[in-house]
Amino acid sequence: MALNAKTLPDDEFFFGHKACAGCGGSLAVRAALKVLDPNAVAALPAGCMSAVGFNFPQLSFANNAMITPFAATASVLTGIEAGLRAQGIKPDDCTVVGFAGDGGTADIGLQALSGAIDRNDDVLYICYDNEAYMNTGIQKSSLTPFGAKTTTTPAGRNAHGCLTQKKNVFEIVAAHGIPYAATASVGYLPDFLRKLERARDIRGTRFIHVIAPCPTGWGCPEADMVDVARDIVDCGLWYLAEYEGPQLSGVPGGQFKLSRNPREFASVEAYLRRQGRFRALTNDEIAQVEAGRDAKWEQIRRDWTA
Amino acid sequence: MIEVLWHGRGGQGAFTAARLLGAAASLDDKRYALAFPSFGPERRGAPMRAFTKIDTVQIGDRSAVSKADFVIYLDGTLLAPDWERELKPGGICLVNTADASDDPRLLAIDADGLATELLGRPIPNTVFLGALAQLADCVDRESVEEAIRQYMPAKLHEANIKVVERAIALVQQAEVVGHEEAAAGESAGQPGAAAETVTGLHRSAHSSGAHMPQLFATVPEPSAYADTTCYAAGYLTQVNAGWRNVRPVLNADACTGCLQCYLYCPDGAIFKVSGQNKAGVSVDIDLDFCKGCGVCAAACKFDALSMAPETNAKEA
Amino acid sequence: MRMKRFLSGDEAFAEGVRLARPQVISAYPITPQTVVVERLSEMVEEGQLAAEYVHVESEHSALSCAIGASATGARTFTATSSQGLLYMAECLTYAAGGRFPIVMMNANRATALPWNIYGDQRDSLALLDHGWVQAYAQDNQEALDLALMAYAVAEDPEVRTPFMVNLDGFALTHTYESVDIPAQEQADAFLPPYDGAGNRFDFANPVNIGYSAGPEFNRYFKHSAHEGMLAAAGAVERAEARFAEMFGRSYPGLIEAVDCEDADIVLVTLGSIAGLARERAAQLRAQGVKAGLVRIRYMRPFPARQIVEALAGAAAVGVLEKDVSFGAEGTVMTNVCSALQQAGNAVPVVNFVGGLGGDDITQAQMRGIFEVLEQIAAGRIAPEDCPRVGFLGVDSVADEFGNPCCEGCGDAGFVAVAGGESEGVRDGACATDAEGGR
Repeated sequence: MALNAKTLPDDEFFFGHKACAGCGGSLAVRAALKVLDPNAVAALPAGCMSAVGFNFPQLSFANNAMITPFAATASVLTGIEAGLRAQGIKPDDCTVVGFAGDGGTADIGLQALSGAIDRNDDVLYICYDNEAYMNTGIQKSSLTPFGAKTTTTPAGRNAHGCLTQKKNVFEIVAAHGIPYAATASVGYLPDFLRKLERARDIRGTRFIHVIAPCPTGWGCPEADMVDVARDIVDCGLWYLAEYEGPQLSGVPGGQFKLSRNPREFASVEAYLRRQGRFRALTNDEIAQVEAGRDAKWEQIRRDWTA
Repeated sequence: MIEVLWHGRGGQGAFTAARLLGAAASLDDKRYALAFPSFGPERRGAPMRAFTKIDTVQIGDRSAVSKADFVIYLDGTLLAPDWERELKPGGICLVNTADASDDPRLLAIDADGLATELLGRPIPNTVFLGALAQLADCVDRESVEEAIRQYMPAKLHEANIKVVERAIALVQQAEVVGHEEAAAGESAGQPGAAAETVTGLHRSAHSSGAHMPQLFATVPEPSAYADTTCYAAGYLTQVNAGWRNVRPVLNADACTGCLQCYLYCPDGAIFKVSGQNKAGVSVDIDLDFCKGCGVCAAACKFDALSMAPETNAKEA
Repeated sequence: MRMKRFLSGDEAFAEGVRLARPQVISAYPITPQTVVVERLSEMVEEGQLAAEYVHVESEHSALSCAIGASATGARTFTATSSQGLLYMAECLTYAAGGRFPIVMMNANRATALPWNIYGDQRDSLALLDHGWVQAYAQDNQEALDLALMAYAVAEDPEVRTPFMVNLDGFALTHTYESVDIPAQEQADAFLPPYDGAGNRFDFANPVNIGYSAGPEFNRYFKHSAHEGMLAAAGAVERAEARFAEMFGRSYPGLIEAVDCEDADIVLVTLGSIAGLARERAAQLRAQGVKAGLVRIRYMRPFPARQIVEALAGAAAVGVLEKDVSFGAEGTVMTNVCSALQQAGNAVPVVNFVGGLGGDDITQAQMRGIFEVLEQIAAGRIAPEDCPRVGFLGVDSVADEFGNPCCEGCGDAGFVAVAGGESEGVRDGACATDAEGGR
């Protein structure tokens, strides 16, 4: 059954947390746990969602959940899954799920994530990507996009924010031949919900990379959070896609599939200009960003199934 | 020692003000100052505190201030009924509100109004810095302005110095008016309201049967928890209502039951109820846990949700 | 079936782990621990051991995986050494704070730089404060037996604390000797399955595990962890009593005190070097010298009371360890001196740092160590003239006393006494002469 606002269960497994008002990450976790069954076991490393969700005596997860060392989301997931299976106490509807931020995934947690995929452990790994280390107060991660001002990539006379490009974690994960990987955005929840359902029902390692704006770090009004999360997709700087590994797709090397192929992109400039973090970008730099988008989409449209 | 306790919300600049005050007081090397925030997991919008301590000798005690000479509320909605508890005898409480007070210890300053006028945004912190320049012996207009010049980005100097000057004038005026009003025996309503009052609207009270964290009145005893870091899932002891200075208001007539507000609420504070509309479903808002982000109102295509200032909503 | 086998320390330990029936094993290789995880993988493959064997990609993940598994209520095992232990260091505090009764074997090995794969105790002693029970085996039999007892202690409801069993790299891990392997049925009777109730995921009553706790709560968790560790002392005694009853091998508790009752001089040490120390102390006893040995078996919980009791009558004490905390002294030294100071015992204590990076602690050095203690006890060296800390083979006062008095001598000579005076010569001749050697 397709999940939508009407059919989603009333359960609120992530509730009463101390995230900023309008936090995209908390929306991602809330939505994901609604799709996974009540028997989901969640693991969260150091990061915004564990910091705002696990403050004894304010415990905001209604399901089994635990905190992990920063680098260890995937390996703790592995341990949980192995422990439940070894004892024969893993319910059929139990998804062992991790929620890690962009730094926790693409930087410090990448090694453990790679290990879990290599072992094809039966876990779901969700990266909520707010494009910087927000828990420590907006520092650059390897998923911070070009041009974004953070407290460690200041926008000054010599540099206009982050000088590196966003790391392509989705394709790095896919290169492992993982059974299932997807990208999503909290701006398009029906798409995210569908991918969560798919991921829930596949065995082996699954990975979902969901864009989750942080109004505090991105410099946009809290109320605009969802709209910005749509805008990044509409302007083509983020794409909604799926990857199915060789076993699932029957295609050697696996298969990439676009979930959304916009006929026309919304304005990159408008997307960037509405956020304080990109304020220093020159028109030339914005043109560079746009050119990067076009090159990526040319490759996507050539190589991936629409 | 002069102790100043700043109440604000993450993002309002309470700590910046605490820091500027300390810098101003210690500019001339005659005084020592400490300024520090309360460190916690709470985020932007959450109530937070900052502290300034000023003395003529070095200050060894780096603990939080529990009783202060000046208690400052950068957000009037944070003012709790027991605000006096934090005031030293003879101390003054400064509150960001447009509503005057009849209590001589409570000084109301429309800092949002002043800041909006001069800065274009309701950032009230330097208004109170100006107020303290007038009220506290350890700083004056010159030292506060010098602190702004030394510790704020250059582009903010001019406007904030103007804010300080106007704030000083405002307080001078209020002192005069305050005396007159006290003499006349007039009284006005108290600004603000309790920050974390449970409204009783929490969804668990409706026993929907859904899996979700539950609010408990008590914090457990150490003997009940300290042997492990394993405790009942979803055990809550606090609401988040105090984060909010605007709240969503539902116009049930306009609601079509599309549930986009419910779907996109980052806090799960909007829940489904049966509705009179065509869809037969509508929503209600859990005001104990709504943080007032406004995502719901933005998601509503039918203008059935709007954000109303918290003070007005409470009066309504 | 019970059997006798000639095994290395790593192999013996793996047998002990097999008998304990861990349900999840996270494995990552590092010399000189690797043989343990190799043997365990074979046992799993052969069906001797029903465990989930996880090939993690780092030590950090090895312990993280064990933490996740323990949070489900599974009995878990992992093993490491040296840099691997340091790499997983942050996870040690997660395991301890979470009160997960994980058992880990650590092959004691030097820490870089310079890079060195050989044995010393700087790895585990550097992490003494991370909240794990720390035991040090003397021989392969004790190593095997500790594998079983470690789970009994760690899982004790009053303890709930992870347990690190330390085996000296190469001296134990790669040295073969005869060990008795208990029968599985007996091991099962000794060690019932782990009951993680109260500290595991629960699908009927979900829990949150491993949260943060602010300043007003944190102290209670830490105090409880401290109490849990202290309770391990009693749990060790209980486990050893049951072990002796079940297997007929008894262990002496947190320390082993040898001939300490009337001893004038006592050497305190830990790990496999205790074997050599024991031999030298026995030689001296045979010569009429009241020498004793304290072998520390557990560094945490620290056996302060037992050590103070054992050293009560000593006139000079030495602490020999394969460790130093740069700029201070050996960590064992600090702990022993703290215990003595609290007891008001001002006996002179000398710290002998040796065996670093696999360096051999020779018989001559051992002779020298005891000789220094004798000199101090007899008042021939004033304690204040004896450097508190010395590196064997570099600048230890023991080096001056370690040379044999005659060719092939098994005893220390005294010609090297400061000033070269003969007053240092003990009654009678050297042991070689006494025993009619050549």
